[in-house]
This record gives sequence, C-alpha cells and structure tokens, in this order.
Amino acid sequence: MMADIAPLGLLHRTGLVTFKVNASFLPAAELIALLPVAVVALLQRGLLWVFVLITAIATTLVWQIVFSLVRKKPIPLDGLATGLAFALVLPPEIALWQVMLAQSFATIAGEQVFGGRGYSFVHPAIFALAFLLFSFPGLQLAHTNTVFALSIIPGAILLLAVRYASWRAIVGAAIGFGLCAFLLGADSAWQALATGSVLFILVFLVCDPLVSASTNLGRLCYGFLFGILCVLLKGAAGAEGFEAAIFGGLLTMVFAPLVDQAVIAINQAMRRRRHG
Amino acid sequence: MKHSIKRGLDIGLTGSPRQEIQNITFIYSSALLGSDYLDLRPEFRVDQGSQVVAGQTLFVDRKRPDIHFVSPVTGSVAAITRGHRRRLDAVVLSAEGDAKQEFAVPGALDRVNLTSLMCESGLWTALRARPFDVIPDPGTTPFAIFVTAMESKPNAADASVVIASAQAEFDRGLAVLPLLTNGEVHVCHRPAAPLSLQGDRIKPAIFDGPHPSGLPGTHIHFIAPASIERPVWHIGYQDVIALGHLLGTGTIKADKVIALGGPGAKEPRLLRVTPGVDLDELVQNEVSIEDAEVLSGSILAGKQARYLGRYDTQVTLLKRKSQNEIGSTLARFLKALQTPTIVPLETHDAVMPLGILAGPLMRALAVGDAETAKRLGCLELCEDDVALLSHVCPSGNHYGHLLRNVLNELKEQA
Repeated sequence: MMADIAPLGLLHRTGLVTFKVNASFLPAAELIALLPVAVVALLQRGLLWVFVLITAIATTLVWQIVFSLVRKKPIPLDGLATGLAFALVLPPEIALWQVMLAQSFATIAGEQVFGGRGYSFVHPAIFALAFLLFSFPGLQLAHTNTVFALSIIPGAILLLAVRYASWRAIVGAAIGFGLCAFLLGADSAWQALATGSVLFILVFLVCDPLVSASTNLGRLCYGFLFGILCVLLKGAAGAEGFEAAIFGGLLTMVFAPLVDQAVIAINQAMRRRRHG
Repeated sequence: MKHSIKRGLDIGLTGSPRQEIQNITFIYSSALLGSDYLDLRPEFRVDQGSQVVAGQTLFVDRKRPDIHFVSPVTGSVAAITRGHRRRLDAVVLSAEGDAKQEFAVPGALDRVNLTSLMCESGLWTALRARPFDVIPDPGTTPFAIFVTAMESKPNAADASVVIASAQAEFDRGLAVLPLLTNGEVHVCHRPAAPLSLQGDRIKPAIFDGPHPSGLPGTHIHFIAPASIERPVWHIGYQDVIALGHLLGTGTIKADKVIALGGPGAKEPRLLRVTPGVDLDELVQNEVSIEDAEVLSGSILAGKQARYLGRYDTQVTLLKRKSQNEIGSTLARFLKALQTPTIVPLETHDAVMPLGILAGPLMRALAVGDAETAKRLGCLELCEDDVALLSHVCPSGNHYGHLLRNVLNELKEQA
C-alpha cells in the first residue's frame, strides 16, 4: 500500500526561476491561464458575449453530468475550461442555438463516445469550432486584435512554467510557422500573429497535453506540423483569422498518435540495437 | 566509466540524515514479510512458539526448496500471520539471546558450493534478477552482476560511509561474486567513493546526478540492458557486506544500517538495527510530531509498514495529511477539474533518464497493455524505477503497482 502522503510540490527549473508547483494544482492551471483572455474578451465584446459564454459552459457541463450519471462516475468539472476556450473564439452576435448545437455535438461525438475527456484524440473545443465552420458557411468568428493577442501571453507563460504546455511544441510551431511563411512569402500569415488567433489555438488547444504528442521528439514534430499547416491552409483557403488555425489544429491532433508511433518505432529500433 | 545522469529529480525532502552510524540494540521484535517476496509459497520448518537461533531456516519456498529464509535473530517465533488467499503476511520473531547458527565455509569456493552456502544461510534472497526483479533460480547464471554501492533516494544513507564501516567484509564479499557469473561484476558508485576494487572481472562504474542515478535499474540500463535472453542480477552493498561477514565468520550478519529521516524525524541519522526490525518500537522516541506516518523505504517508493522491508535501507517519517475544511473543499474542486486519464507531460520525461518513453509507457501501464509495455522496454524496470513518475503525475496513478501487474502477466507468458 502506498502511503497517503501530503502533496509535496514539484520543483521546476525554468531558467532563472525556481518555484514550487503542487501536482494537484496542474488541472486548474488551464482554467487560470484562460482568465486574462476571458477578461479582455468580456471588455471587448460586451455583455451579450456573457450569454454565449454561459451557453457554451452550461452545454458542456450538462452533457458531462448526464454521461457521468449514466456511467455512475464522479462528475468532472474539466468542461469549464473547454467551454471557456470555445466561447473565447465566438463573437457576441452568434445565435445561441448554434453554440448549443456545436458544443453538444463536440461533447458527445468528440469526447463522451470515446469515454470522456482524455480518451479522445481531439480537443472538444476545436471539434466544436470545426463543426460550426463546416455547418454554417459564412459564419464569422470573433474579431480579435493585438490586445487580445497580448492577453494570451500571461497564460502561456503560466502553462509553460508549470510544464502543462510543452515548450517543444511551441518552439516547433514557431519554427514551422516562421519557415513556411518565409519560404512561401505569405505576408498575410504574419497578420494572424498580431490578432492572436494562431497563438490562442496553439497555447490553449493544440498544446493541451491530453491531445498532443506524448514524447519529447514527438512534441517538437507535432508543433512543427501545426505551424506549417497554419500557413498552408491560410494560403490555400484564403481563410481569415481563426479558420486556418482551427483546421490546422484539428489536422495536427489527428496526426499526433501517428507522430508518437513513429517516435516509438525509433526508440524500439535503438533498444534492439543496444540489446544486440 | 563515468555516467552523468542529467534527467531525474531530487525532491529536497527535509530531515536528511546525519551520516554517522549509531547502534540500536534494545529492540526485541522483528519480522520477515511475505510482501517482500513475489510468488512466495512458504513451507515452514518451524512452528509458532518454536525457539530459533539467528541463521536458522524458518521456511523454504515450496516451488524452489533450495532457497531458505532464515531468522535474523535468536529467540522465538511469536506469530505467523496469513493475509489474503492465505498468502504469508509476516513471521514475527521476538529476540532473546545471541547464539548464532554456524555454517561451514568451504576452503576453496566455487560456483556450486558458494551457491549452496548462500542458499542455506538465507543470503541468496539478497540477489535479484532483471527482468522482473525477483530472486533468481540457484541453477542459473546471469550475463552480469551489478553491485549497487550507492544510494540516490531522498534522505538515504551515504553508501560509502556504511561500506567504510565494514570495508574488509565488503571486499571479501565482492571478491567472490565473479564466481556466480561468466560475465562482469559492475560495482556502481558515486564519483568520490573511496573503493579499492581488485579482481579481473570486477569493473567500477561511476554514476553521478539526481535520483534515480543510484538505482540498479538505471545502472543496468546503461551498462548491460536486461532482457529475457540476457538476465542480469543485482545485489545491494549491505548484502555484499553480509556475504563477506558470512565468509569470514561462518555466521549470518544479524544487523544492517538504515537511514532514519524525513520531516517527522527528531534526530535524522544512520542506525544499525536488526533486519526486519519492528518500526513502531524503533521510532517510539524518534518522532518530532504527533501521529507521524512511518514508511519502510523512501518517500517515493516506501510502504507504510510495521516492520522494515527486506530490501529497504531507510525509514522515512512523514507528517500525516492534514484534513482541514478549506483544504479539502479546494482539493475536491481541483480533483473534479482533473481528468481521470493520464496526462503525459514534459515533467514525466524530465524525471526519466533511461531511454524509455515515459508518456507512452504510462499509458500502456494504466490500461494494462502488457504487449505495448514490453515493446516500450518495461522488462528493464521495477517499481523503484517508475516511482518518480507517480510522484510527478497529477493523475495520482501508482505506476509501481501498474508495472507489477504488467510484469506478472509477462512473466506467466515467458
């Protein structure tokens, strides 16, 4: 039997800073990281957006509670972060039934049929966004600006500091994005950086450890793939703002298990050589 | 050869022991624990109430009757307790007197008579074979033998202090280990350890860096990775000393050194105690806090226990988890935010220095996928090697237990 010990806290060394993070705090990190962005969105989009936010969160939680009751499992609260992340990409004028429909579909088909959050291979929020874009052509997502982009940074720093988000995935994405945009001369891609759309999808959805690659080399390749796809899709579809990042993120998540399998194959080959 | 381990974690637990050995002689109770030996089906040679002397066989393994389990003390068998499905729980002994059973040490040692001497004196149980980390069959020979002459667990003893206190016995024990293998005997130690190694098949290996740099699993992985075709054995430095003592005196070494430490320890230091010592009795006057938790082993892989484990060389005293209202409400909220699945983080990779992919391994262990776990290298590991993963994982999974389940499944197939 393992002793029931008081949580010790982990020591993380991130360059100059050494601080203690409690392991049980990690699940809350994502929610806390989203808060500055939520405050900016609230100020920019007004009271109407609050209804969108409440609808998104409530829809997620209702389905999670229904499935938890059916499965006789404890009721999870991770839908708070999922619903919040989803709502942050939505404009205040969107019809609430569309929000409800997209989030219901994402929670059921993108999460609960797999057994719940963490068992699925895509982030339910990106699933909901992709569903919206496919189902309602011409639908406008939120218009964001530099203030929105800047508000992502504190959360990004927090998630990197507690190592919830992988710095390898972010570095990979930066290399992929920069390289691809430079080689293709895609000037419009750089604008996506200023509006924060790529950064938001990258930090809060693509870097979610439950859907990203689970090996160090895999994380680098995974981020790289996202960076490339963002630029390519932007060029191909003429997609604005969030669209390229959403479809890029969705595709990247689908490829994450394949990336991991490749890394495992390399690891296995190395082990076979060592064992002789 | 020097191996610098970069990844790993020293968790910085308070109460690290003063590296001076104090003898403790007032403890009257000790025990052999069934949980220390996997797959053990004992065949008893004594009954409850029997008088025993130190070194006398208490029971043998029914499946491998050559392997004896002996009493560490002279006295009587106070209790034999059984647990789930009549598995052996503990053989409790009360000490009285200091007679010792004499073993005939052959003049010229070879593989056969050394093996039977170690088996009869109970010292064969000091050896463990990888894969699976179980006591090896006496008839087999390993590809290599690893002597773990260092520690890296939180608040462990400095192995070189303990070895220095019995240098001649350590050297004598080490000198005969090459008899048991056709390969090499790797003595793994810290950079500054003052060991003088002689013998043509005895090789020093220096390991440096944070925990788990001192675990046999780490040493084996970097020097001679174990597989079913190429099993290797490992033995701790204290058991090498015990072997040297047996060869020198013909009697078992009825004591071992443990590190007493942790935040609940009044005076953290090294203690020389009876193997299997009664921890309740030992720590009676050692705790600085009320209601402390007593672990046999380190905070990472130790167990709450009444008696010291066979392979444990430390005792950790911890504060019991506080149960205040605000704390538990917050904890419940945080628990609800957390997904019940594995969250593979870079933190996991950062504490796994071996060439083993932490994230995929954790997932395979959590779902009990033995084939994938084997593909990912789990045969090289034991509970200690994945203890840091459990420590840093927010999921609260106990990867040691999960690994053992998978290893048991693979062992049945092998």
